Amino acid sequence: MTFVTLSTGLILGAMVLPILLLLYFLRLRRQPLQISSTLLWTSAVEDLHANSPFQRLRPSTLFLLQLLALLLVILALMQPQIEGEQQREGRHIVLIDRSASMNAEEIADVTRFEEAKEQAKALVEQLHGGGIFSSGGSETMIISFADTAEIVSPFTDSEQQLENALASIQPTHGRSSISDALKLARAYMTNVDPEKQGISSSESSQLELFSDGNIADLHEQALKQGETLIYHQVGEAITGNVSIETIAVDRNPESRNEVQVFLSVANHGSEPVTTDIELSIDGIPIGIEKITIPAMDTSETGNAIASIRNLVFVPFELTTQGVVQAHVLHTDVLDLDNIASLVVPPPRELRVLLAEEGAPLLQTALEGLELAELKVVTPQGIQEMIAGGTASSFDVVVTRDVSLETMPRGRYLAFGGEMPVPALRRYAEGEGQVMLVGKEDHPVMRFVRFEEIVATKGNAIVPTSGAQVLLEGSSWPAILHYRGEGRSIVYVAFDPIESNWPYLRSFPFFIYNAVDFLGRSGDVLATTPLQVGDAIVGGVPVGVSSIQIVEPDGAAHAVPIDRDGRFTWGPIRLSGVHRVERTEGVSKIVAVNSPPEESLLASRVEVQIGAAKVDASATRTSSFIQLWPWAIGCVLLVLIIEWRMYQRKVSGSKQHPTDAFGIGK
Amino acid sequence: MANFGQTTHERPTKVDELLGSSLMSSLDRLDIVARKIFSGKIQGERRSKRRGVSVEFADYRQYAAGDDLRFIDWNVYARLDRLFMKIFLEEEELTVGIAIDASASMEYGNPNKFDFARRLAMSLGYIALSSHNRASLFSFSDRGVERLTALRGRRRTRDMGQWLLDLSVDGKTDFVEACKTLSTARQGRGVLIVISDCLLEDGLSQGLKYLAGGGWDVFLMQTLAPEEIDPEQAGMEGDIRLEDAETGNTCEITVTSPLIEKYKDRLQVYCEELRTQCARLGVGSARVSTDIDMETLLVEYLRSRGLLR
Repeated sequence: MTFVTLSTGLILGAMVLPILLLLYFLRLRRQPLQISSTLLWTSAVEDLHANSPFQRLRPSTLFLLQLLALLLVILALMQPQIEGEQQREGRHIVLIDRSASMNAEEIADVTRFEEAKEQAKALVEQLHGGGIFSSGGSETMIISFADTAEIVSPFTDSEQQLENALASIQPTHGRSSISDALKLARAYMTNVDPEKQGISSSESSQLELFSDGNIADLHEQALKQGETLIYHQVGEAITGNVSIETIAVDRNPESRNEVQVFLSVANHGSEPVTTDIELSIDGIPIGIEKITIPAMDTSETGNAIASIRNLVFVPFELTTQGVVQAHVLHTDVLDLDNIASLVVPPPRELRVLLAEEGAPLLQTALEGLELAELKVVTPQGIQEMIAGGTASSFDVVVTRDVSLETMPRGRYLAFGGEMPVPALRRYAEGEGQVMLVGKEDHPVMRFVRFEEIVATKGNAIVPTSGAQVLLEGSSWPAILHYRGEGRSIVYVAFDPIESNWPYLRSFPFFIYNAVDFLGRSGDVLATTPLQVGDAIVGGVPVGVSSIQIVEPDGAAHAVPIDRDGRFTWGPIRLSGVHRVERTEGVSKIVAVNSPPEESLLASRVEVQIGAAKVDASATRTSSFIQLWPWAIGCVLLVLIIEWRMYQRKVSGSKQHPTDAFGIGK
Repeated sequence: MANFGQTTHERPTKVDELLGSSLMSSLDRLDIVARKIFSGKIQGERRSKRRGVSVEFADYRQYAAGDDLRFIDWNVYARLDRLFMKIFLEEEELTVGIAIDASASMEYGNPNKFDFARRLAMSLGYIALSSHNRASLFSFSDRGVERLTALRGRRRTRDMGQWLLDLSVDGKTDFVEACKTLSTARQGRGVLIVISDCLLEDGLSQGLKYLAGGGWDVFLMQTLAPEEIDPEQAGMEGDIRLEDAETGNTCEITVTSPLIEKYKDRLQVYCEELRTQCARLGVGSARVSTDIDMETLLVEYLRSRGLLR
């Protein structure tokens, strides 16, 4: 307990108390009473005074009550106050973090999120609970936030409404971002004064943040004037956790039906961890690997950096679509980051449009490839298709000795001919040459033995920006790759007919590499996993009127389809595999993984918002409860008791019976 | 508090108010007992050392000429052939003295101590007169001793009552001088009943010695008001300046339980010392409260203490 005006009370007490004592003695105008003899009284008083020097003061109840009342008045003037847990007045905005890290379960069956809701509920009870002295001027708003923010309850003073709103909040697996929450809160706190023509004024408010402090953009925010932040820390400051940071899948370049899974596993704990990681396809385990991850590094500045180990699984065959899932078989406080999923689509077969002048040299080579479609047209026909835009439906356009008039966006494999691209413009006819230097690490040049190739003539080109030479001849660049303006062109600067290349084994290798490179360039083998908070967007064939999206926890949501046959659903709430289902079966599978930054679970004892640091422990007792009204109440009570005693005292003496002889008691 | 200890009841103004007819009838069968044997001038109902006519045999003696032949024991003469006179303890009259403290301290209490003393004296005097004894009444204070002596017969009851009604209280208690006077004013050996509150700073023991040495069979009745026996129960409280009715001495007190307990202790010690002193001098004593019923006091209490029978 502290006193606001301690010195004032002490000075007043030092002045008034002696005066009261003096008045007490002075006002003792004792009532004269004649008795038969003072003989016995004198000796009795002398005996009593000999044993009790303070006898004159001790027995006077009325005096003691007056003294007590005076002391209480002095106490009230000192303005005593005790530190209260929360300030009851004003506007409070409860910000509840429901990000992925809040799903950590440090106590059995109780997550950080549930603990945060309990703390928030206690705060609501404290602010709006009943009682004689409960404040009626307090209003509270509840906002939950993860990657997006949502107003769960607008400003209200209804305890029941606030508790219901708290109960309705569900956790998500998204990352923490408080900026949207602050924007929402400030939007509700800002009042527009119509008399001042648009000039707005913000009311002061108290932000009650219930979180583990791992909020990515908190330090980018700043408190505005009138705002105060109280940080209610949830969770333990030291918590170990093992998580899958990234997952990637690639097809074996030597065997397109085989895929390989790459994992990055992080250890956020202070102890090294050895654990098994299980790999499964569509829920069927296909392999398990053991990995040991060292303890996280702690720098001298105290910043902890998680240890990360990479893991590659043995390639396995996957010719169809499948959901690859990695599961860290390690028990820790957060399960959702122990699982990572990825949807692997089937290898895509290409559609190729071919036009060549003269002998079907390339057609013969392309027909040896596994293509979805090979369309052969005349040079004139391809010019029309390109001009008409129909060529864009093919993955690769292949030409030989055809000079295209235009090259819109697309992927081209061109042998000879002149290109309408400045970077590939022919400036002279190239003389015969041999091949000297090839860029063997380029996918197009893989397994292409160029040393034996001899070209009798070609197009001399000076490569400019955007063009990369893949094979350099003795006189001019023989093979180039140009990327720019939405076009990807592999240009062979000579007609194979004018060389010995068609007779070499490297020729079909090159065609295969080039078509594969161009046809699948930009393709990721696995669909990029979405993040929590994103939206699932897609299309459906004509005739499908509705679909439903099934979340990992089994919750199904019907999604309407617009006139163009597209649908949008979001934001994604949970990590894991989401299924887009229609009556004909699963049409699409979407993998959503938890954000890696949410795997760092160590709860922060202080958070930084802007330049201000807010300590969790210090903010719990930031307000004071004034006790002087209670002291004044006690004064009134004491005065009533004194008045009552005085009335009884003056109301007359009591009469008591004596025994038979009335003596000797 | 202003009326604490002050007499609020009606003061007696008539003899009948000192001794009612109902109490009178209860007292007729009582008599005052003298623990000592005295000789009186007139035959009464009291044993005396003087041999005489009574039913209580005392001794034999040789017959002498002139003796009353009625008291010759003829049975002894028949056996021994000698004349012997039967000697009886003669019952003669007893002087009953009743001394009332008329000092200012007696004008206190509710019931009033002086009124109680007068009613008690009236009752005891009536018992004495009814038993054919001689009654003498005294009052004493520092003004001296007033007396009404040699009353005989019931017809003097009214005189006795009127004398008591005419008494007034004033002044201090000069107990020693009063006792000196009483011890020498004896008109016959007898019982002296002293009625006083005995609240004296000194001289009580010396006065008792005078009385005991003067031949009186002394019975001291210490009369205290309820306010003196238990002031707290009687309603004493608050901050008071006590004034002594006789000396004018003052004593400032604040009534508390410890003080009341201390006062009671002192009173108990004082009364115990008084009783011890009386016992040592052969003086009977009793302490009575003024709120006691008079009939109960006389018929039960004083009979149990041996003053009456």
